[in-house]
Amino acid sequence: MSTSVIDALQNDCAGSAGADIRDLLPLRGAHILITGGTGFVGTWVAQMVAYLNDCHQFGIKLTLLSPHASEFSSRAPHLACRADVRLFDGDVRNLADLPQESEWVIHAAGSPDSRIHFSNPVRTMETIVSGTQAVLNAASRLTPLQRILSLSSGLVYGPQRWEDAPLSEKVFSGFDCANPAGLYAESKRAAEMVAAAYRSQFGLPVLSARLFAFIGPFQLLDRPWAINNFLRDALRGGPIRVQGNGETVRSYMYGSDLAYWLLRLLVSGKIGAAYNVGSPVGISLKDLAVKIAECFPRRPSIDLNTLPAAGIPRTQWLPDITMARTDCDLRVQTNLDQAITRTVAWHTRQ
Amino acid sequence: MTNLLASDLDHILDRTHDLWNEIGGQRIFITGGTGFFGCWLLESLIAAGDRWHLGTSAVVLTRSPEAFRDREPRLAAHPGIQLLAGDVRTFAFPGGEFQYVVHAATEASVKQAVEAPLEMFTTIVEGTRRVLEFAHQHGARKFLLTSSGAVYGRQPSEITHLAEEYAGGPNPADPTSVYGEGKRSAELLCALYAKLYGIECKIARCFAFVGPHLPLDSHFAIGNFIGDAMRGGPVRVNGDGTPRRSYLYAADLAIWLWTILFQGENCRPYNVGSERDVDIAELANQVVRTLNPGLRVEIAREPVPGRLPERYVPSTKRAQAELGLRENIDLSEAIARTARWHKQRAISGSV
Repeated sequence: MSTSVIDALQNDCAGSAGADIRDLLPLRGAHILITGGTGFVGTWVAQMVAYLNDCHQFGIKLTLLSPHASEFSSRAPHLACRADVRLFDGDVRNLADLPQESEWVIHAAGSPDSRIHFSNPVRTMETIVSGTQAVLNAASRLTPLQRILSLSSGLVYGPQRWEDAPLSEKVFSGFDCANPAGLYAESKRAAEMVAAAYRSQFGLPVLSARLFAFIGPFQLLDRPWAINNFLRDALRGGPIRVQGNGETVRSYMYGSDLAYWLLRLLVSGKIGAAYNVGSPVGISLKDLAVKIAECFPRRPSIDLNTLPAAGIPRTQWLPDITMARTDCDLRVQTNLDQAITRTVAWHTRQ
Repeated sequence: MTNLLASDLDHILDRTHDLWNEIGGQRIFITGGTGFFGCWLLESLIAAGDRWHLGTSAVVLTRSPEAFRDREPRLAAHPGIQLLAGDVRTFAFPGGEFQYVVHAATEASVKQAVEAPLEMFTTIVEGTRRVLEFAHQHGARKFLLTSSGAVYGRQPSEITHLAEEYAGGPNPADPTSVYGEGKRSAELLCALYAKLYGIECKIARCFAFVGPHLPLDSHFAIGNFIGDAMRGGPVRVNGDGTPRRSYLYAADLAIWLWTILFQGENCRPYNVGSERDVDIAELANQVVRTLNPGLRVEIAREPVPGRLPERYVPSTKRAQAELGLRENIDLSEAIARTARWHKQRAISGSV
């Protein structure tokens, strides 16, 4: 990875963290552990830690635990080679102990890729639920433990109808739990439940973050989500293929904003709470495709309705982020245009 | 030995006689067989087997066969019932084929939800997984999960009767949601096993019940009221008496559960309960009117004026329309029968 690419990532982190990083001071000199640490989330948190260490002398020691630890070197070689980032090969499902010096834990294990889920659904559920239990169990034995942030999903609310307001943490909606399609969402609900039980029964200082949709460098383009596919199509010269009529509304938070939010929630979120993490600014998939196309000098064309969407009701998926703003003064720093431009630039320079 | 439930069992058999043929000569595996649901399922299964010479037997998983023998010696001694000691999460699979599996292990204790939520949650989720795995490995065709109306989360006050289509859920970040959230996961596991292995999974979302075998000293308001009344009152209502509840009589419950197991549609949840709701204050008064009209009802707090009542009341249109199920026994009759059973049981020992 070239110096300019790495500098751009550092700048992204500086923009998301802002000039005043006092709120993160409790992490100075700390040991942070991320389970499932080599995915999009873990990589961005590592990038943010690199920024804090390099530009603000935080001296954080970061451990990334993952069964795919070796893949990290190819995904983010500039992070893998750092002395303050340690890779730790391990699977949360058969976890005996966490590194004993871990003080702050982000539990990010559990792939959101639905293609993997349905190939072995019972095992998927077990990985998410028992994996969370194993991590919390091991974390409860850590002497220096400060806090645990367990990553959940905005899918726990069930489908958001077109007429619904953005999803707030105070809305306890759901979905039909007797339907296998709810596998991932229900498993995430169960994992949150396990966290709540550990907090209540053993006083474990754990809170949850419900993640929505994201964009940014390090995202793998072969994943089954619209934005990944649009970028892949555009980078290949197009056309950008939009399934359905493109009226579905989503929102995307940039990777460095996500990383900053997670570290802030880890430090100052309320124990026991579950915070929405994502952008509240919605965009239709059609408009998203146009925005991506506009980033390219030779604009790729856009094909609508590559898969029929007849009879499928128009949907949206937008978080209400009032709680993160009220409790931790968190805001979206990188707007969607910036996010798309930077992401395209990163992929082009790769 | 006379069976104190003889007339209730006749009531059940009269309304289920078409169902039983398919289990002639079969072995049924039942978890939670020693609880309230389990006792009614076993009582009615044995009664049907004896009346129609079905040659059906049940293997009943229980943590403590001794406790079950002490409490229900007649059931425990019946040749059609075999007790298997074990925890639902870890039990060793008994050999042989079981085409029917009933997973009725319910940890509905409020005390456990508060003191040991993790154990309650894992017992429900890992227990259901283990029983499904057993069912899969031992040739089960039909599987019944006794789920709960708690899967919907808090019922909105403006909805008087909650239907299966209601897509709500409990708050998973609240530790007191473990029971409802656990049952949601259990339902999902059923849906997965049904899809993967072709087991027909029948889901009964159970609300509130009254009848013989219901403990009078637990957290169930109706049991406590009957207990208060039998001890000579006063009947004490904790709270302001405004929450609305409904109670299906246990004999009707047994009819509903067997019907759902045999005839319910795969992975189509059915609410099980009563649509005839009362508020808790009225329930206390009804208990007094039925059992001893002279008793006093004490309500702990005044209701807050204008506040909408909290509700836990199902719509059972689906079970009625699709399975022809009915509420046959009304609330005052249910209260009277429950009290009579407890009185006779106290006199005759534990038979």
